[in-house]
Amino acid sequence: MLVMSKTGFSIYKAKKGLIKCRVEYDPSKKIILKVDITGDFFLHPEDSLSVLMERLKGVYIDRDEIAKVIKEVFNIYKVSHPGIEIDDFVKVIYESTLGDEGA
Amino acid sequence: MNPRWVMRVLRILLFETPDDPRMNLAFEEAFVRVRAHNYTDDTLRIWRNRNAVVIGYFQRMSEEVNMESASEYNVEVVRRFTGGGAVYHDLGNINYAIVTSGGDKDLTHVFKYLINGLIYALNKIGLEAGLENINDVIVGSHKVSGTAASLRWGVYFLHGSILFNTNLNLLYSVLKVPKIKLIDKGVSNVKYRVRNIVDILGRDVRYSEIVDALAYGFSKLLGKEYYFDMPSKLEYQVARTLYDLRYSREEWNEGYLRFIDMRDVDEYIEEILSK
Repeated sequence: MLVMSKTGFSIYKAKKGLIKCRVEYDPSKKIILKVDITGDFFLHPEDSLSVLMERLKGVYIDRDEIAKVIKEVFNIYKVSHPGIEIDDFVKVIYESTLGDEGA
Repeated sequence: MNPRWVMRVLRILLFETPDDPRMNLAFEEAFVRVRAHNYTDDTLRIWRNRNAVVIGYFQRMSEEVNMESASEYNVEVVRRFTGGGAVYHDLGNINYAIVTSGGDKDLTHVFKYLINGLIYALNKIGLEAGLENINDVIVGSHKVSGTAASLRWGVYFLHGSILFNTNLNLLYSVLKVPKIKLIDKGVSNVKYRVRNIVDILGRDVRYSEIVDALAYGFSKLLGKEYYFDMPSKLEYQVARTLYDLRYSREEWNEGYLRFIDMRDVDEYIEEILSK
């Protein structure tokens, strides 16, 4: 069956760093298909971001669901993220699903 | 090779390849990884690029660099292994990188602690420098150095660049600065903040003066005597390998490959380091 997907983009300025997010999603099922996060922030361990992007695939588009996945990955990998809050990531990912690509 | 006894001294390397920015960044990773295996003392590296943009680990070249301008001015773009933002490098910009033994502290601590070496260095040349917003080193209202840190490979690592006499017009031309960042700062263009040290001091500053100041600053911070050294054979070997397998690859520099996609490279480097 053909999946109708849309791609949205959002950008968010956190206290330390700009987060750019591109999300491919299925608007009818409200499911995230693919997430691409870039920016000038800091995270340790760095590869936790790749794990997070992978884990977000198939997640229902809802702030709490997205936050749950981020918290889980950050807990498992004991991620330190100076100047960026988990809510900043939630905001930029969620807002990417609200419209078409704008950048 | 057995790890040598690591002494309470600070080793300083002035090794640089200004006309080959990708080798400069390959060496940056190499000397950190060699230190992580305890083959070398805590090391401060001071180096320059002639004409390059270095983007952060999580960035994409196409999003950060004005490619038309980079091509017009022959600016080479390379990606580093640490997070943070894109910077423009010419010979009026000096890069410093410090690696020390690691511990259980987090990134914020590494910034807060190691950045003091730079602040002592700037004090030494007559600047009242301070830390702002986790990793920016400022003098008055101007940013003179941006820094990035890492805890990769179990060591504490911080590097950054000091604008002492950079061509700021070229910097503005090759770097894209998102409008959202400027709005956030309440300013209308990128010139608001960065400033060359020579303009702040109102006098010429020589490369050797900054080298001496950095040696003094980090030696004071770590409480260690310093000595100047040459790269080891192992550092050259690892750098050459990283150049071939990582830093010369377009997919790396464009920002599409992450460490997790290059596990074979890391395994190979660890093999070299474990022999």
